[in-house]
Amino acid sequence: MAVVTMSQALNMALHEEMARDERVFLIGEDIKDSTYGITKGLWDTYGHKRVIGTPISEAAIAGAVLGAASVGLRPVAEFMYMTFMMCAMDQVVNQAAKSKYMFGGKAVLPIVYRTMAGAGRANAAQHTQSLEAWFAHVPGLKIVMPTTPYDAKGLLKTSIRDDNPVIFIENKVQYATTRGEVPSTDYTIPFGQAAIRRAGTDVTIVALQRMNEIALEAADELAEIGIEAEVIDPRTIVPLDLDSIVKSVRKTHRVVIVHEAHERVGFGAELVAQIVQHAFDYLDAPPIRVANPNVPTPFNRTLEELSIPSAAQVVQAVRGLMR
Amino acid sequence: MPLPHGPDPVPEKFAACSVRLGADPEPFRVLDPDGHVVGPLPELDDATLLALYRWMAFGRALDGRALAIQRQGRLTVWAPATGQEAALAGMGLAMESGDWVFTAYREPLLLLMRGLALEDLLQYFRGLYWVANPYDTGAWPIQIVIADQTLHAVGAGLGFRLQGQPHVAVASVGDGATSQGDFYEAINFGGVFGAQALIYIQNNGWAISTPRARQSASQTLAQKALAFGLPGLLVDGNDPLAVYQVARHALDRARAGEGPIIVEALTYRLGAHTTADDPTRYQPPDEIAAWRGRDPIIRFRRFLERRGLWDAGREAVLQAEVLVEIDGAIARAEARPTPSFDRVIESTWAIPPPRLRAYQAARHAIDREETP
Ligand SMILES: Cc1ncc(C[n+]2csc(CCOP(=O)(O)OP(=O)(O)O)c2C)c(N)n1
Ligand SMILES: [Mg+2]
Repeated sequence: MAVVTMSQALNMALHEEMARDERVFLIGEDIKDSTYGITKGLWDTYGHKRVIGTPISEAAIAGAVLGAASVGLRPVAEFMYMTFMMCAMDQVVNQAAKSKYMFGGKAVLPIVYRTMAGAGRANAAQHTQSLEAWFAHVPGLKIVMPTTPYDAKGLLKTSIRDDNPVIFIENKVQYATTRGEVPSTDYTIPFGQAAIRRAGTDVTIVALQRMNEIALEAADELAEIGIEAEVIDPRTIVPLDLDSIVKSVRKTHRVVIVHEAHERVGFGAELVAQIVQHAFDYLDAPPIRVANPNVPTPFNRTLEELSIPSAAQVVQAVRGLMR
Repeated sequence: MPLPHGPDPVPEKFAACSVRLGADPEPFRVLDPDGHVVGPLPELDDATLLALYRWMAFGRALDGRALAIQRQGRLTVWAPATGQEAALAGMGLAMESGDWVFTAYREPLLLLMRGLALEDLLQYFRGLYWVANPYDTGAWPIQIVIADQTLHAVGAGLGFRLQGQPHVAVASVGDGATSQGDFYEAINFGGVFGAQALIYIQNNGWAISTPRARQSASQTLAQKALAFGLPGLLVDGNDPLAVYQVARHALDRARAGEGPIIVEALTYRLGAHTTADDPTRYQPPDEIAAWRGRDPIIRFRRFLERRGLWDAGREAVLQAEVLVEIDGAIARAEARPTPSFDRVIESTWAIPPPRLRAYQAARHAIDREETP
């Protein structure tokens, strides 16, 4: 099996799905030659009818793919940065998320909205937001957040084959730095199945994407002082594999949630509520979130680093729970 | 034939560059690419002409230095405006004190002309928050989300009107920005409310790797004005004297409460989109070569030389001077310390919420532990 980067894994998924199903097409700004290489080679192979560069119009992209999907195509729309999806919110939230319901379930809307989030590249406040919780709030959208290249490929394929709108969120730091083994064969990963990245007995750490890598670092440090952390990667937050998380918390009695998004009303808040509801009697300490401290992401690298959860903060949070 | 817009047709001078149904507008032009006078000269004295040239040269030199220090990791990013100096400086000269400008990211030269200090701008591109006070200069912080600032300018122009203030708000956008819904909603507001605003499109041929032709099927971008009941003027964006005059007219008209004009300056992005881009992937070499032949700085310099206002000796002195000025600003910007994280919290909140105070305390505790 080849070891590839996150970008390459995503590129493999797109290549394979476009070859497999000619209804699949890509649409987005500057997509022929996108910066991180996700769409590399696709225009050369599939041409301008299936790799469509658009004017700078996020609302139009989001709404037009709804129309295209409803007449039989399977669009994969790209938004360069998650923050530019804010220009398309009406189409995503009021239209794509609701159309199936409002047509009494008859509409088939196999749309993938791919986008890139996360901090850590000194892209400044308007380029750097993790807004998964905004979408998770809305019924009718599935939300996929892969952490490893293997999962990225399998989950993107599942997303493209799904008949509902999917928000597929990629982490921009992981594109080049996260590597892993990815088979060139066809495989999919079902939604709603968390991955246990590390088994442990003393504390459960639930962490998304790059923060999962940070959590594993923290777990190694904790092991040195005799604390065994179980690290869980939800992989999809809608649908959410609550069972695996609750099972782990019932075993460890403690939980720390780590994400790059703002702490307030972030995905962690929902998870805490669910855990408290389903594992209240098992908890030995209050659930803790480690997240962006509710500030815009600073442009400056040093300050930006301070706004992103660190392994040291996770270690500190866990030690606080063990007292 | 009467123009389709408004009760006040554009002056005779701009009739040919004014967009109309069924007619091909000719961009307003004063200088040909070789600096020969082919149109009406503005009433500018020699000192002002020389100051205009100096700003253009300053912009070009700034791009050179900024790209060099970005490569050394001393700036986070830079979006060069090489090739667009006339479009920027002509507008900067036409604006008046009290006017506001809302730009994207490629207009440092325009912001500097409006009074923003270079060291403040450089500090921003070193990754710090916007240091300057926009209320001092009307130079508003740069906009990243494409076209959003069009609405801000129209709103400011409405604000000036409602408060009886004699100012104009300029929205500076690119060709790509005209594809956004916000752009159209802004110009529609501008027309309905008679906002004291000017919509300035620098059509530089490209939006990252998307060529102008893939942005809109309309022949010009200025003609979009017609659908909204506004005048639209086309100007040679590499001719500073033409840009100055068209801008002046649009500013005067907006100031008089007669509503916005859409001005489209035809220019070209001779550099990369930003330091994160490689334009050789998509910009055709012959297109670049053709536009190099229309370089705005060379054009204006030849005009000044013909008038006996400029020569090689003065050019050499100027080049040395601007470099000293730029390097001084770089040094001052770099001497400023990186603020603490507390500053991030304090610039977000007038009164930081108590939970953030707790976060600050926890963060300080970790920092202390990590320090050996
Ligand atoms: C809403 C939004 N979508 C996409 C982008 C990414 N982006 C940054 S610059 C740019 C091109 C803008 O082109 P244009 O308006 O012509 O300005 P220019 O860069 O040529 O000065 C794009 C698509 C963005 N910043 N904001
Ligand atoms: Mg452009």
